[in-house]
Amino acid sequence: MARFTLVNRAQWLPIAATILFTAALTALLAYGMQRASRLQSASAALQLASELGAQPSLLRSELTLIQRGLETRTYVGDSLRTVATSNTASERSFKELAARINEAQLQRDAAISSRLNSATASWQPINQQLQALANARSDQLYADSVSGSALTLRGQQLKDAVDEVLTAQTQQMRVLTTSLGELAGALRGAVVQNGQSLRSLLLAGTALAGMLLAMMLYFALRARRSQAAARNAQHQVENILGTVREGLFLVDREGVIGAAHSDSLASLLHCTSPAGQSLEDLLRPLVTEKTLTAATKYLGLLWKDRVNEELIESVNPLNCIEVSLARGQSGRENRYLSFMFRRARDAGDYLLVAVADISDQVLLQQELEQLKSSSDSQGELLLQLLRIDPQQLEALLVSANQAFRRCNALLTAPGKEASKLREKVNGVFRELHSVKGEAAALGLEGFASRIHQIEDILAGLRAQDELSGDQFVPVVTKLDDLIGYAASLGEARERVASLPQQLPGPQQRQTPSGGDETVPIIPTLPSAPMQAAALESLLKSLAGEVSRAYSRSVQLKLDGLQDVPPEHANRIKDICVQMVRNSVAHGIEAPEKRAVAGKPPGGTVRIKFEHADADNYGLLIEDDGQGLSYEHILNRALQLNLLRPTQAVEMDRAAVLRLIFHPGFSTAKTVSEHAGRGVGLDVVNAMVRDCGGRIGISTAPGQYTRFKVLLPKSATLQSSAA
Amino acid sequence: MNAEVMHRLMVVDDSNVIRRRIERAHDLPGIEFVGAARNGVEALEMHARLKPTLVTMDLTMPEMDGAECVEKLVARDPELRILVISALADKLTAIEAIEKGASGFLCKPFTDRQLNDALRKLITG
Repeated sequence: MARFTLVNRAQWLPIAATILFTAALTALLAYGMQRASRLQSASAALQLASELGAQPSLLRSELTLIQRGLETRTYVGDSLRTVATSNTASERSFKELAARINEAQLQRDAAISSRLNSATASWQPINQQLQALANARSDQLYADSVSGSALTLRGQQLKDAVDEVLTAQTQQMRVLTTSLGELAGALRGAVVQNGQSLRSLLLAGTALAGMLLAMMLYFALRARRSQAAARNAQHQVENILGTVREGLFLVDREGVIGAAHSDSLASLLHCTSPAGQSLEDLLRPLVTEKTLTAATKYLGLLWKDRVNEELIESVNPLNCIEVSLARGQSGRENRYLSFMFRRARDAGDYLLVAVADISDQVLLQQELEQLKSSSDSQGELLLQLLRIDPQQLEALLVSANQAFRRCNALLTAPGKEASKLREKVNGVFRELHSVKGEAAALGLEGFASRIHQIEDILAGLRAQDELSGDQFVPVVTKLDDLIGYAASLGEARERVASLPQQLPGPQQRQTPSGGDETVPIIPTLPSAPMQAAALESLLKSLAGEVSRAYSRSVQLKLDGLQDVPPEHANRIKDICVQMVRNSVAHGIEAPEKRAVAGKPPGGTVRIKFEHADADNYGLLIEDDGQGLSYEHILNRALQLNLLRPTQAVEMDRAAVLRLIFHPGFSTAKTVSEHAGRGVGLDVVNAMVRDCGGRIGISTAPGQYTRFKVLLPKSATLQSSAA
Repeated sequence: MNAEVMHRLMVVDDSNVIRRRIERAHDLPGIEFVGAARNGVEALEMHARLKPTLVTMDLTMPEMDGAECVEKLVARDPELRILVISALADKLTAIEAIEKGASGFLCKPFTDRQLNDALRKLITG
């Protein structure tokens, strides 16, 4: 609203000011006109007064001429006519003078009116006498006789009249002259005054006109400036819309896309002209029917004021959609698009929509998750290596390094022709593929999957019709990553080798009929006297390694391991290794978290072997860590679709805890990759069940987790790797 | 926090586990847990009895559709604040429920913290 008022003010101000100034100027000019016509009248009056001022002396001289003429008996007709004409003219002039003075509105001026009155008063008697004189005839004024010419009676009468006028009116004429002179002076003053005020008015008018001009110039300039600013803003908006990678557009209540949108919108949605089309129509070929329905309803929801923005945002069905877009002439490409909606109703009834291609982020996220799952943590890598024959591992690393060198040689070899490039692809493929086989045989899934990724890229290159050197960049990058991984494997191997000497290698194991493909889970232990010490040493080293890898501080307390019978030795070793790893990695909290909970910074893992009863051995594995969370287990299981919500309802606590033995629970994210690796609790469970044993769990949140394994005393000697 | 404003929370969910989780989350100040219903029909019946001010409702329940239940509850008490809970993939149902008057949305699976945040927003928003 405020904006509209401002716009109105900006528009109305110049108009109002112009009207005001023009009105003032018009009034000033009208007044000026009036003053000018008064000035004109005053000037005319002044002229009349001046002319009249000359009349008395003119009349006097004419009368004197008549007087002289009569005395010398000459013709006086002309002079008589002149007097008559002059008298009439003067009379008229007096009337006109009065009229002009009235026109000039000077009758209220005391000086002028008194003088006019005095002049008129002096003129009246003169006028009357002259009137009489003017009627006199000019013939038969003289009669000739022998003594010369003499005045006739008529002549004598005329002479007497002239003499009388001259004597009687001399005084009046003087007064008249004086009055008219003074009147002319007063009128001159009035003319000057009128002229001055007219000049002032003209000055004011000029100033006003100047101001009006200046104001109009100012508004014109301002309009130009705001037009320039508007053009600039429009230009900027166009620039933004042209440059921005997101698709930005407005959608009206009917769901129709507005005319102004960013250039990238068309390419993002793969359509030629989105403007004027309905968003629904554009989405239809891209998303599922259900998503489209949701999107349509969602758009409806956006117009509802009562629903708050945050809530609306949380149910946006288009915040991450996978769309299949046509690419090139054949082929389609899957992209991830994110639509964001904002109510922008201040600027009219529109929704502002931003659509972005988030494929890179989504794919990166997916890749990160994949990396996270495939790149084993240090602890897991160590565990993996613990169960691999060091000689086999050594052999693998040697052959892998040779293969890497050959790959590098192939890739750096000269030759840019298609056939050479194709040779390179096939050569690298061959080299790596054999390494992959070896790595997979040893159960090094992370290693194998890395090679697999390179093989995928190579397979892609094989399928291409034309090859260029540039296309090898990802191969080189991934190969670098692989070489780095192999190096870390080598380092880990050295750390395993530095474990205490009494830890026996698999070459010492006593497998009665161990085939070549029997890969032991953990190096097999020697017979009774050495086994307890070796197992204790192994577990302590392992606990140390794993706790370093996970930044934990852990104390391992072992009890009764010397009583482990040979038939369970391998099994108990495998169980203990897994359980210690589990306890350290997942049970014991980080020192700072323990401190918050009021626990000592170092956690304790206790393993106790005992004769539980007449039929069973007991193996107790206990840690004072965070305990198992029922909710966490249930959520995870629901998340992984290991059970349905309806099943969850039926479960008691013990059943919930048993979910952790479910295959795919502990290593769910990598279940296919690491199947058979034997590091999950499901494997422990399987080992225990295989020999007829049982596992029990008890836990208290924040306090402890306790596994109690019962193994039958009657179990025959089995290979734990069965 | 404020003893005068006490919100009465009713949980509507067919899963025992989630029901119990929400019941436990009522340690939020200002929320008093008053009862739990297993389905929409039960929810309507209990609403009449318990007069809750807050409801959390799973949208996929037997007996009655969650969105329909939201509509009926809001028709009875327009001031009632309902938090609908549904799976991330099922936004259509959530949108329908909000259309019908739900005031909040929580997507499954959720943590206790997310639940508490959602309930807090339901009270304050």
